[in-house]
Amino acid sequence: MAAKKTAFVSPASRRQFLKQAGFLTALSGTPFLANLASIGSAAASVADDHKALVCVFLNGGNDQSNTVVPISSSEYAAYRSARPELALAQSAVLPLSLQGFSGPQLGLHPELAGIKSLVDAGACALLANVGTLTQPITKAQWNNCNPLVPVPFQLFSHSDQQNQWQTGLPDRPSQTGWLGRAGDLLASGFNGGSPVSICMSVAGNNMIEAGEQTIQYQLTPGGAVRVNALNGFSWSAQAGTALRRLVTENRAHRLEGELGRITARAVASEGRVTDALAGVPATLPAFAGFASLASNPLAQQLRMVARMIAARSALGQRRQIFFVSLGGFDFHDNLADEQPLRLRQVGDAIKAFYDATVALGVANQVTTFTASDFGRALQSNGRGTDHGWGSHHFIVGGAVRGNRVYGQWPTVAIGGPEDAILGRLIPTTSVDQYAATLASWFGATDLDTVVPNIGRFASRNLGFMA
Amino acid sequence: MPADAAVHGSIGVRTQRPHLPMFRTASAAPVTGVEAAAIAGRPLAPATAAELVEIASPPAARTRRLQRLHRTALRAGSAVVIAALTALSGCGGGSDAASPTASATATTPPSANEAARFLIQATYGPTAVDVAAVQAGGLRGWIDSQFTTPSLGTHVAYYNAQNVCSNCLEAGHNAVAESFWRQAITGPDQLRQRVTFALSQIFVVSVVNSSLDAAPLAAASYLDTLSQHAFGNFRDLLEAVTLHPAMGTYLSHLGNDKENPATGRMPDENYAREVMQLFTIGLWELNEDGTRRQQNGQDIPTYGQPEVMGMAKVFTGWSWAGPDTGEGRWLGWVNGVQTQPWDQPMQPYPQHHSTSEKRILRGVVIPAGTGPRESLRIALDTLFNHPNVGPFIGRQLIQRLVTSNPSPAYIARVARAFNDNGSGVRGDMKAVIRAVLLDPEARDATRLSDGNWGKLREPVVRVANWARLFGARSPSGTYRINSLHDPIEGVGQGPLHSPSVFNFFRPDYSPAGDVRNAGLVAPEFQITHETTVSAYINFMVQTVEQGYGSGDRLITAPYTNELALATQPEQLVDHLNQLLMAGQMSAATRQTVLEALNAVPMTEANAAQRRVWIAVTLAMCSPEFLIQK
Repeated sequence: MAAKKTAFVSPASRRQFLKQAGFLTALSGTPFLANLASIGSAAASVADDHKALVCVFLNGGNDQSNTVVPISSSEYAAYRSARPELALAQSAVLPLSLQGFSGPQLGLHPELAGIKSLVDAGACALLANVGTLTQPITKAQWNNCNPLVPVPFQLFSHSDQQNQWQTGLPDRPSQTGWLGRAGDLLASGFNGGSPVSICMSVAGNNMIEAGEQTIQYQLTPGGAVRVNALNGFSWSAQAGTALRRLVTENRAHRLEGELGRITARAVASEGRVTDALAGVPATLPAFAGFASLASNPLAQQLRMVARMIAARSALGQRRQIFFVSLGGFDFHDNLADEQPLRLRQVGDAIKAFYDATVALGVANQVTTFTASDFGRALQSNGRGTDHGWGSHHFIVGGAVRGNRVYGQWPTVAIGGPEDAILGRLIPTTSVDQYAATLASWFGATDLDTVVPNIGRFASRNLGFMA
Repeated sequence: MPADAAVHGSIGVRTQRPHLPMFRTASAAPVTGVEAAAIAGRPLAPATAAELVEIASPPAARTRRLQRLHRTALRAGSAVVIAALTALSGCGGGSDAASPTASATATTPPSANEAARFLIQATYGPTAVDVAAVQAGGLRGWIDSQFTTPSLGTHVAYYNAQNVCSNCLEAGHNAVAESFWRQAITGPDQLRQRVTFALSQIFVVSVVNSSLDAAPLAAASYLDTLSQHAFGNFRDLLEAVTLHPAMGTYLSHLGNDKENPATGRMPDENYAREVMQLFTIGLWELNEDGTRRQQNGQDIPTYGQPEVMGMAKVFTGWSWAGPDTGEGRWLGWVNGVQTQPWDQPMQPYPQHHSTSEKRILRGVVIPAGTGPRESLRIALDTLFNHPNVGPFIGRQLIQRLVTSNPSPAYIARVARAFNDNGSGVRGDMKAVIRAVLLDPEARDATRLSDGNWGKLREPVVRVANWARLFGARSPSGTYRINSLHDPIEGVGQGPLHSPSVFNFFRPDYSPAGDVRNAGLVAPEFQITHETTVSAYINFMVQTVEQGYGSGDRLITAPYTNELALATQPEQLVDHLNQLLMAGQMSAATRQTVLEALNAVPMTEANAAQRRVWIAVTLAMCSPEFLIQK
């Protein structure tokens, strides 16, 4: 509801026309001609007009400065002097050969070999200095309050910034997230009759997948949890009937009713999901890349995503939105020792997942992207870094125009042109633009519903999707 | 280290407008009259909203903004005065607020169902003996007796008695789990146990995503600290939490070094931020009733980045306790041996403490040259005396024990008890706990028919309810319950296993749909979804029959009282109805359970046992049990 109370004109009539004309499935992005051009490639797989968006959320605020590192000598020196205790060795950083990038030589954290291979293969793009914004703001405006430009409320707070990344609305309360709103627009047209929500999570309840109508569906890395007792306790068949009634029936009390609805949903969908997944067991060769990643929790979640994608026909889904996450990125201390372990998990998991989509023949239909609470200060506190703002993120998939940097690469130095204070980056690209680009590719034409503030930013499409 | 919040949806009820930038590189120059008072350690007068904005703004912007705020600042000032007058006239109101109920209970003993309902809020679940005790002594009398009931002992003592080898982490964590559950299930100090669990969800430390996973003794000692201060003063609790090495490790202020102007290195801001956001005052200026104060139609942040950076300096120069303050001990190494006294409060290392000026909250400035202990005292006094603490902490205690959506008036009554226990003492936890549990709203029987009232019973509490009511025990006498946090094999929540410092769930979480649309919150629903509702039913079906664990640690319930009623299904159901859900079972649920029981003829094998399993399982999966009212 909040999403639709926007000052901007919602192109509802155009959307309605397209829907009635049956175009909505084929037309995805905003540039009309560009989409016409892409219909050719889409037609090749018209029988399988399927797309999936996968959000990889890094809980705690990933330190972007040790994730993507400038290794040209002067830029590296500035980076190193701001965090001498934390800086990666210049020779250890994995250098990238980016196309069309005129900034400094960039490299990835040595534990991101999986991401590097995807960048090199053109399947991964970098989005530089993206963060929450209510509207564009310059450093001069930030410093001088002239003119006064509103900024997101409660910057640097985990809970608020995580929430704002997910709602896409940093200037107001929101009961929905931008993937949930995209799901609202697309579910009925693409997934009619599916027993499972268009929004699925392998990482617990989240805000980004909450829609007006869309209720996210939760599953585990092993699939859906079955409640055998509903079919009868081992010591009483009748008791199963009683149990089913008690846990799923409607209730007048609001909290009792909510609990019953969740349980009823779980019970109703579990059989269909379990059956669908039985056809695509984790032992399929397509998932072989996950075999060595049994202790990588992100990889285990992404393997389930890959299986749900493989099971899309059985699930009746032509649009799928997934949420996975990895915790522990709040490195106020132990950054040098422990961020490498987490980044290793991220790189390995995303690489294995991309490889699985290739093996399944859906690499061009699946786009994976990273997000996090915020970036962190460039300045060291001795053992780690403190909460920041703008950060760098990765977009992975066959439809990604990879091996490129999007947005504006910031000056990595204390006091640089994007430095709010101590190397906390003022974002030059907004979450709204990131979301709009992904949502356009996914087929959501009504961007003002998905990201209501998008009109405040110069570009609705950052160009990283083919 | 790990303050990575679990993904959640926190919903503000009011309209949130864009906020002006609260942190600028230009230095603010706050000079207010509260400084002297703060440094002298006296309670502070509330800062006006204009002061707060002024504190965070560079001079040029401040001038412009002050012009705009001039009129409303006057209004806000008078509002503060009115609030202060109200608070004065309500002195002692915290305890008075509940006195009608208390006096009523003195003359009219609570019914068994009323006593059970109270005990469901105040303990890990009532037994028939507990209900009788409350009926005999009254609610207030029972609380008072609980205040003086000793615990079974410390968790550290239990841990030490297990003789866990230093590298045996699993054994160490098992020792902590055994001690936690032994006290939760069998401890006579049930109120202290339950309040301690609530505090562990406000002052969160966790072994998840933390190096505390290598220090089970830290967890044992931390639980002891919360327990020891549960009935003390909040100011002491705050300091004990702040200086506990478990917290120092979890939020990384243990070993936090002062700034280094030569390299530009700055102090770690982790604890500075979270002690304000989560442990004392929260993000927004609050009225006494927990609603947000506003200025020009906008909510007012309690602090900005400058205050965080000033506060960060306070929490420098603290590390491991010991007889010296040498560099080795600072790092936890003495004579080549790792030396980490997890059960002793951190001590100051003056050479690592920032002695530059510290600008903290509400215009308070700690002068240059102030040492670590004095800086800490001023900072914690400033936080403790902030008017937000009563409503901020009070609301969360109500949510953990009584109901998810307390009325503003209920929050205000608890806040007033925090502000003044009736004898002029601020922060008296006994007064706060009395106010939470004896409040007319908590006791109001008409709330039982209010479809918006109550809360989802936490998974950990449900498991404890089962073990307590049915006298569960293992042959070895231990309570090794160590896997509840697993969302598939367990119930998705385990003590000290929060995914982050933001707890298992946020106070403002609301599930999408009907609850959210009604403007209500339901924090526990953040960990309630397809996976965990299914896992809980599976857990109960298995545990009710087969128990939990294995070998001589298999915890099973004898169901002595219940087996005696197996031939009288109605009495069996009435018994469970009273003790599990305070008589709130609906007629329809009662009928459903009775039909299931009567479908097992007593002539069949093992019929009594099966009837009890069925009755207990159905009752503990019923909505009336799961939603506590």
